Amino acid sequence: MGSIRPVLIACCGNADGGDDAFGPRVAAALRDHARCCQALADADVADLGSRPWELLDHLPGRRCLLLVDAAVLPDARPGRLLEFEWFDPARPPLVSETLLSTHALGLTQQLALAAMLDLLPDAVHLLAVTIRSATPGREPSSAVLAQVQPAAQRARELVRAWSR
Amino acid sequence: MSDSNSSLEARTIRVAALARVEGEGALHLTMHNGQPQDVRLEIYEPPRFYEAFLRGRDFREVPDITARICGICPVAYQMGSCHALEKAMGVFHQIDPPIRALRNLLYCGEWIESHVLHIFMLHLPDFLGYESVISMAADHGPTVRQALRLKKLGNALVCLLGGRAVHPVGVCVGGFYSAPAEAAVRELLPEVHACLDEMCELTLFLAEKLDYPDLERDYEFVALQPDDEYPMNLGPIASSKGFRVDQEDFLEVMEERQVPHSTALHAIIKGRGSYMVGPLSRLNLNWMRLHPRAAELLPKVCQAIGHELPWRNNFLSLPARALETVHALALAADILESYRVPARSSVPVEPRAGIGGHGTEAPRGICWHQYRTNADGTIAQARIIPPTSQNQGTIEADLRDLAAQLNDLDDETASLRCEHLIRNYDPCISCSVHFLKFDRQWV
Repeated sequence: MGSIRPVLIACCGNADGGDDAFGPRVAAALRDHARCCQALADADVADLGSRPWELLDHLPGRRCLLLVDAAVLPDARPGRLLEFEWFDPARPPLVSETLLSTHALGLTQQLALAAMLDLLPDAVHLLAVTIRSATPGREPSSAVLAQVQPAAQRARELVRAWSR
Repeated sequence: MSDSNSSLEARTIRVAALARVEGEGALHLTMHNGQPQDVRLEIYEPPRFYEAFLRGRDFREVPDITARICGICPVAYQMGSCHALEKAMGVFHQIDPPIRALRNLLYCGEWIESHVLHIFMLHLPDFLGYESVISMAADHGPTVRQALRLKKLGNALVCLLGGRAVHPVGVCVGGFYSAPAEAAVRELLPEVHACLDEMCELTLFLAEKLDYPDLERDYEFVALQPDDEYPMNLGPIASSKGFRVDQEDFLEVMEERQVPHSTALHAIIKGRGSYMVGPLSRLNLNWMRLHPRAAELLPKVCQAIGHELPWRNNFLSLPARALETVHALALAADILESYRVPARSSVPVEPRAGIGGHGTEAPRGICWHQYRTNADGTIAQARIIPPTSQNQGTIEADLRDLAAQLNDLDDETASLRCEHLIRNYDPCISCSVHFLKFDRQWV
């Protein structure tokens, strides 16, 4: 078995769920960039889709974790890119933990369980985009799609910073 | 989490949101003079439109689309849609035995992952008196780590055949887009054997160390009942109360109806009433077809819990799931050991007008699909009956029986007991919804 890369970028969201497709779109953008340009040598990209409870499978051996998801802020303009430390109290609620299916072992619970089992990475960071709706069967809005490449670029910057 | 008002005569317990259950749901229980007056399990999940937006889609798109109905059991939706569409296209009986074996292997992966997640992360905390798996892990870290290892293996099996664990993409009508290399298959075998041994020990632990609440009812158990294997993908549909029908005739014996307090339809057996699907039904109807590794555990489990089969207490769904996990691991080992790359990974399927109905055994019970196709292979009509909607009526009946035992309990404890009972069914609420009425009146 190969060595584990120190950074995990875990993208959550329903690819068929309107703006909730943000996470999978960022995962695809990161993979496309790695194919044509420079691979993220120190990071793995995991598209968890609408199964965020798979995060625990990917955590062992990771030093840093970047989560990418859609955020639910009713008063916010859709298409704002937000960045938080995961344990920041001001962190917004995420779609993967609210409207669409989680198994109650959402990201928060998994990270708490990871801490209990000594699996929690040293750094846990969130990139999220504010959305209007996560309706199944719809395409993401243009406002959210416009943030996919900036989010992927920011993810690459964070990986480089963590790799130093 | 809960609120109540009490008086000398009436007591209302509301659980505003059910924890550790897929999707969203709530319970309303009103008791009067110690007897249940009103029992409602309310589903307030946003409605899903899958049956509607499948119309007009090419039949080849259906497995990938239906896989997204449920994040927990995508394989179940893919298998149901594939088998039903293969019937519509007239190729059902042409599926090669090696492809059928790979489908069973794929299902083994899903059962392992889903059952282990439910047993150890969602249900076991109830039995051990913990609020969640997080607090449980503080005292039972090794057990939780074992569970994570088992769950990861289940995902690895799904990934082997499905291309990935999350929304597998390797499944197609007719079989699989490709078959795995023998080297990739062999690589998993040591872990399967190791996990099998661990799960046997864990199954005995669950039987010997847990206290199971006593709530027996005269259920009608419904499950697939093939002649020669424990049910997963194939077999007629049978009931403990006397019917045994071909898959296509399932709608002759059951019907769905809408209830005002839920966006999920309730299913009944015509002329009778609610019924149960899931691990307890499968085990009660098919225990004699368990893999030998699971079959040899069965008498020890029965002795430990003090009940011979049939089990009529759905709190025993937990050891039933554990036995099924052993079965799935052992079956997976057999399939992996005998695997050779098949001559073809799928059979050719030509579009035609047709109709086909088929159900497979999702971890939570029968998930039944029916499709009518146009001559060009597009979907004219789709109908999907998930297991959780089939269990809705039975869950409410269980709660009605439980209610009489709650009189001497404080409201918070009573609420937790109700939640514990509902979790017996491992309800997958987010996929059990047809759009008929949207109710947001829970407070």
